[in-house]
Amino acid sequence: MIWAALGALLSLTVLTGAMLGAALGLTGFAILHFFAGGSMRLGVQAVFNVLGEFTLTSIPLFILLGDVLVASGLAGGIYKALSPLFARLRGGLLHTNIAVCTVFGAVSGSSMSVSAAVGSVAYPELIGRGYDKRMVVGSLAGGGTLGLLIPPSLSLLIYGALTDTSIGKLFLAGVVPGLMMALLFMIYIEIKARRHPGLVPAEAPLPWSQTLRATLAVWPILVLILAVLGSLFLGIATPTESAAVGVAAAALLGFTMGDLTLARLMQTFVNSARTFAVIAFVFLGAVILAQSISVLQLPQKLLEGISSVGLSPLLMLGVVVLIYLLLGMIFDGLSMMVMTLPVVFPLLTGLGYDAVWLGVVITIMVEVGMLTPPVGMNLFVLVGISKHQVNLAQASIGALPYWLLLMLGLVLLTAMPGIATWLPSLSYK
Amino acid sequence: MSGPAPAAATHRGVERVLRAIAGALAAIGALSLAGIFVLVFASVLMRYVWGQPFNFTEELSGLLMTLAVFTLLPATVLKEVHIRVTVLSGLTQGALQRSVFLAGQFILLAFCVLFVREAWAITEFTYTLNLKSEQSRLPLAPFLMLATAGMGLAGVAGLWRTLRPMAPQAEDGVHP
Repeated sequence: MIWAALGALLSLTVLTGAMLGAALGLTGFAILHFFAGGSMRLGVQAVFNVLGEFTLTSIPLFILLGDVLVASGLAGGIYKALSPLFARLRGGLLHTNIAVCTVFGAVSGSSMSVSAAVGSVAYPELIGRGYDKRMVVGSLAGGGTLGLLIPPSLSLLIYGALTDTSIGKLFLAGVVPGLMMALLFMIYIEIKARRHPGLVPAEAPLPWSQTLRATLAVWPILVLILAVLGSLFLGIATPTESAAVGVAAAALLGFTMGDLTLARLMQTFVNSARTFAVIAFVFLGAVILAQSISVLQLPQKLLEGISSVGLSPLLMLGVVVLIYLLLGMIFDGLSMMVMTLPVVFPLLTGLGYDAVWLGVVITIMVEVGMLTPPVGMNLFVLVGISKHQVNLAQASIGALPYWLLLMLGLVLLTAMPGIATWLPSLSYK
Repeated sequence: MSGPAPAAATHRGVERVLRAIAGALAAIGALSLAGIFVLVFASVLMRYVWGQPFNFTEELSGLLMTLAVFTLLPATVLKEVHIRVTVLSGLTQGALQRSVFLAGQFILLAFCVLFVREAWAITEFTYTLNLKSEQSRLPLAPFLMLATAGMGLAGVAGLWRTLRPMAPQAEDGVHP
């Protein structure tokens, strides 16, 4: 009865096109009112309690960090620095797209920030050189997803805050899978470029001395990565503190080496606040829904049901992945994660899956959602950057190989959980 | 005698007033986020450079975060820059599409009303007992009052959008 009510209420409220936060929150209120003795106040109290948590304050700061980097125009410098190195490979500057997204991912927590920052520099450059449009957009959309997996990651932060899992462990767990995905993307690009030379013009390689000299220009961003991730992993700073240090360092770099001005920095604060408000409203609604689900102990009941039916944990994981794939078609990735975590997390950890590993797996599913039309946010960003020279269908086809590679990454991660859990196990004993 | 022109002028006036209030609240929200950054960064400096960390950083940051969320809300509702699932509204047209829109707006309004009702009770309780944060003894009531007011104004903005749906203006963005 309660499951039918929950499903019907969620479908009804979400499909009307109501603001997602309100739809989730009202569903939570209804569940609390009709099934938990009218205890709606518990939902509001949970919102005030969760929003007051210090760890959560790192979310707007990491959004700000990404936006300051974009406003500073530092992506152009990094792109120029890494281009000569990757021009030596047959995939040429398509590899640079992935490499720069990887580096940018290590300072920005948002997939869309990375796609926007790297895409705005790379798209006109590569189209001007005669690269295939679909290949370019695909590599940028796929590369952009690395922003969510490679720490700092908004997805892992929100996951950690909602499930009370160590953010430090989650960030460490994202490193190897993030690098693995970058490598898989590059292998695909190289194979595709060798098989279809017409899609990728041959780049003239610079002498090694010039290549190395150019690559050294990437040092400011390495300092930034060290400031943000180094302080966090060494235990010197909390996630919020490392984000604040990162914002200060990014602003300093932006003023001294980039195009950042005081007016642009002020505008960045406003833009970040707006982005944060949109995420925060969904988060607020999800907290109320989570509270209602938690009060009624629904995941525990579901777990008992699954145990009695005898579904294996692997099959259950497969069902969850399938649900995420379907939801990814109509929800943006982060919203999808926030609204499903209250059930998915206790369910899968109850079946024996590691909480940190699960955070990485769900983040990959969020990334898949970013590339799944019709609501693939990275695809939207790149269609915009291309000034509609590439439409959504073309962008989706271009991103399809990366979508498939992310699914392959998921399979590898399931077969070898150590890919995610090895690094945190070294640091947190 | 009143006609379409005075009505339009009234609508523009209401829109201007709402945008001004929502804009002022959003400015408080943006300043709160800037405040979190300054506070946390200063706290790191105090800890590592002077060896004297602030004891109120965590609690004040949390309160500023709460303040930011609720004060930013009215502007985003007014400018319609929120995440929605538009599958159904995209498939419908005319009166049916309008009905779906109204249902969505009703959900927003119902949520805001229920939230404000419950939040007000918590705020009243906090104010009456003059509750303070655990460590740094910061008064909680002002933050909760602003948060409740923010959600209330978001409801008013939603109601205005329901009665007077308008195309987004030039400065209105799409959701991230």
